[in-house]
Amino acid sequence: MLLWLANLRYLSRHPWQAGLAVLGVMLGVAVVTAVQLTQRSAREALSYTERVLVGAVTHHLVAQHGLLDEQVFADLSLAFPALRALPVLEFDAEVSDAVPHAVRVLGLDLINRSLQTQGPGTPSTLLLPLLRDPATGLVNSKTRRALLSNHGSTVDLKVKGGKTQLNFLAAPEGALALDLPDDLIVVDIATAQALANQPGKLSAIDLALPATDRDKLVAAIQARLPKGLVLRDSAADRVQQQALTRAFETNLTALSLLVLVVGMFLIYNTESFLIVQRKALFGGLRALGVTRRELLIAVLVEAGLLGVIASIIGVACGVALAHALLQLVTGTINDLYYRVAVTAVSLPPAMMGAIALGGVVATLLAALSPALEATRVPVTDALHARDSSPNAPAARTWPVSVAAALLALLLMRLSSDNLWIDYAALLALMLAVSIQIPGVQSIVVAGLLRWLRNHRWWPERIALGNLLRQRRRVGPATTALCVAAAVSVGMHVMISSFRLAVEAWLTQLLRADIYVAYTDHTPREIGESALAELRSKLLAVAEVRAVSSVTRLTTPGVNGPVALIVYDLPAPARAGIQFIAGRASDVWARWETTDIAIITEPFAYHNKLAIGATITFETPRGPRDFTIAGIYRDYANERGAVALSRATYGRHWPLTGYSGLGVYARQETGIAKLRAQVETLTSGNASLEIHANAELRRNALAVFDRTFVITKTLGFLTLGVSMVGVVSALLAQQLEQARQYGTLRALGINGYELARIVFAQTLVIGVVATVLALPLGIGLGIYLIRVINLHSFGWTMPANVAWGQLGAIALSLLGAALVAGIYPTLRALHTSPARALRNE
Amino acid sequence: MCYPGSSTPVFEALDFQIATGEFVAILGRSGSGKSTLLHLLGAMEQPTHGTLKIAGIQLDELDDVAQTAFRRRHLGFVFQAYNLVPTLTVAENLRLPLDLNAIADNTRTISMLEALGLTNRAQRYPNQLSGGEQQRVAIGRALIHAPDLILADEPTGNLDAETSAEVFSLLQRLVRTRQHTLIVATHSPDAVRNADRIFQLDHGRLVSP
Repeated sequence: MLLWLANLRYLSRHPWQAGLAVLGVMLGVAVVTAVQLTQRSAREALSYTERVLVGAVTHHLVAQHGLLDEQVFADLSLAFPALRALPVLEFDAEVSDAVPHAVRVLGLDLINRSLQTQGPGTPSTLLLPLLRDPATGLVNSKTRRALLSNHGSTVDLKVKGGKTQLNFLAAPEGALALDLPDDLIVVDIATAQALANQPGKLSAIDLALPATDRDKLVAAIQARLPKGLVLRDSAADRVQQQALTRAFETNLTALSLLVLVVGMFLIYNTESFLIVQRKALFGGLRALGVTRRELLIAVLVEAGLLGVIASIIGVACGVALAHALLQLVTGTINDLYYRVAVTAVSLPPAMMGAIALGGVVATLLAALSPALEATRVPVTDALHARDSSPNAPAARTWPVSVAAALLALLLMRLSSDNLWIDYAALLALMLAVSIQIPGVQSIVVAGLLRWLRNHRWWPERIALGNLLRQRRRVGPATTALCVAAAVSVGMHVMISSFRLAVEAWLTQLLRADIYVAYTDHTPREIGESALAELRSKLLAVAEVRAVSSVTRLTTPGVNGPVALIVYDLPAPARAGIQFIAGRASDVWARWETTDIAIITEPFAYHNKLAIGATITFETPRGPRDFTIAGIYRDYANERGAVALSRATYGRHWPLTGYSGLGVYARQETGIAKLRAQVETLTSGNASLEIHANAELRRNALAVFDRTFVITKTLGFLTLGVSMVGVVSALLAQQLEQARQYGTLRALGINGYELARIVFAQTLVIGVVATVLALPLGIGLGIYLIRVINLHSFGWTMPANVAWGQLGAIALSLLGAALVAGIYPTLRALHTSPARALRNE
Repeated sequence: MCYPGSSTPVFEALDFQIATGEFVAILGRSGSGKSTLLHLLGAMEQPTHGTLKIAGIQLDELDDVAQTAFRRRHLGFVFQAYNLVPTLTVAENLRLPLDLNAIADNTRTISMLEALGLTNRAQRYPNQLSGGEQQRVAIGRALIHAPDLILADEPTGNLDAETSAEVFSLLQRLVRTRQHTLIVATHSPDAVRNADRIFQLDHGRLVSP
């Protein structure tokens, strides 16, 4: 126990070093906690409406295409009197204000018998006021405050261009709380139908089927369903929705773990330093008869304590950070996957306990190597108060590098699309490279020293000599900085490559001059005739060269629903499709006349499909095979989609309306005039919006940028963690040389010369770390693009290095190295030589 | 045995016995092999040839674990640089060998503090003591668990002449009183004039007795 006590007192006497060791793991744990909490909160929000408003929804009854008639609900209620069912109409809307506020409107049938049977104080009774006043919507207090900030008690709600005034009633809080998500307006179904101009229409009927005989009931309901309606298992739907975001979540988790790995480097660094400082002491203890095991346990107890403190603080900070990240993550999910509104982060104690435990384990793992080193201190060192470590030969690291590289290759061969194996391979590769960094630094420093031998730069020679002598202390600091910087560089390379690829893809894809689409996400049948009529009118306009169309559908496939795109592509639009497999001329020759399909790159990747394979769809006349004639580049949907020509689709399904139109001007100079004509043709139909080509591209890139805000944030956090760690490591190393600086001051060197010694050391470390981080980071970026991105999303893209951004990262690293030199210099200048010598 | 990078043996024909309770001084110039001899006697290095037996235990046959156990139980060390644990108080430093040997005897610490004249310094940390006081604590720590052999390597090398004499006097007094065996390596003949025997080492050879 005395050993433990001695070590713990040592930490309390070196609060800076202990604090910085804590900081490394704390930041890592905080980021992991925040990302996990955020993702969990977003996931929980998915089933929120069901849980709060109906209870356990087991099935959704929806139309295969578009909305369903409310008569279906009446028929079902008659056929199954005991059925608990809730008709729902849900759509997006906008609250008109100086800054438009997007909201989701949820219309519920409040007279529904299943709700009325519930007791007072239940959600259903809280909704009853909405029945009394149809122009009333229920929102949570926060949304009410946000929406009514500049108004009285009513707001203008804009749905498909039409405006309606709506009163807001805040949901009660406390025991009777109907804990609505932000930006959700609950209204009576009749109000919703009026707002959406969809009388008698529903988007779904939610069913809560009893567990007993559920399968029989499902079969009975399905037997009575009119054609075109589907009964979907909500649990399966949830699984599918979660599958959509799985890659996104896995990547976020892996990136957050990478921050923790950088944190581990820092604790390794600090622990190494703390142990190196006590080598003579450990030698003395060994001479007194302390066994290696006792010493190892004492050092690990010390590291474990740091880990516990760091993990507890880290989890607490992570909860705070989660609130900030939540907006970023839900924003991305809203943009890319499905609408989700969530305000609170949920805090399951078991999860936080597991993360904290992970932080402690990470700390112990990081401290294990320095702790083992402590047990190997030569006992004889103690007799001479000497530290053998500075001049000790460096341990042979190349076998570890070779083994790690072989492991990485093995993992890469094993992994088909398992992201965790991909990341494990990445870690092994980084280990293989990073373990060589101290050796490379020593070679560089020795070379510089040789080069300076015949020069008069004696402060720099002293500095380099110190670095060489203390290579085992400095090495981990350089490695930590280098690895963290490489992670940051890698993320930037990946993001900039991705952005450039998306930009190039959009430029090629968006070939029409003007695009017309519906303003909201309501099913395409709402106002279907609007685009069809517009298309007919546009084809008669003299300035219009061609009109392309797209209809986006979801149709049942062999392995679940498939995103189906129905294209009507005139000649100028066809150039926008970039084929990465299959001959364009061959595709276009057969596009409309034969049953061929073209599929996106992610669809081909995830379903392992190649040219010549067939894909089967259920059609009203039974299953039909479509031959894959081309695979094209597409960054719009990570799960992928299948595209058919409108003519092909029409041969097997009843022709439907359009989701959007592309208008091609006959002359470039006539675009403005054409737009004015399109606006005239669509005036009076506010459900349509018109975008110029550039505007649409800009909007798409804005979504892209929002998507990567979270990744960039994690990248910067990684860099921040490493900089703090490196500043601390360099600081500690410099402070240890106080006696040497005291001696030099006693010999008469001035402040300028002293600063040259200090800054030469920190700068060399910074430069070596930066120079090594750039190729390592670029390699990491290429790996993220070629392996992680491909396995996550099925996308390929050329790697691109944004040198400007990398330059900024390099400068910030050098800045951190210089900052690390300021305090030791000032301290050395303000400490009297006599005191510095005495303190030894 | 040889120094690293050299094939020349450090010692030649080194053969001696020391009786229990004897005070032996090893004198010699720097590089004569004094410290290496102490390392061998302290079970910290292994001889490449020959045998070494202390308290009936043959040291050259011990592995690292057994060497550690031997040092813990049978040896006491006094280092030139004191090597006190800086984060333990004087009393705790003295108690350390007792803890290591699972001896729960608080009276030993108290009586040792008295013997060292450090009772009023018991709760101080090493950096709050003078060099002489630190070396007194180191002597107490070497003796407190009643080892068979005490090894001291230049124990007064960091002290002035007056303090050095005081420390040596204390060391000899305590060793004689408790009948410990003491081997001191030093380059100063004056410091060990009261030794029972003096070994003079010169380039690894025992010149005297």
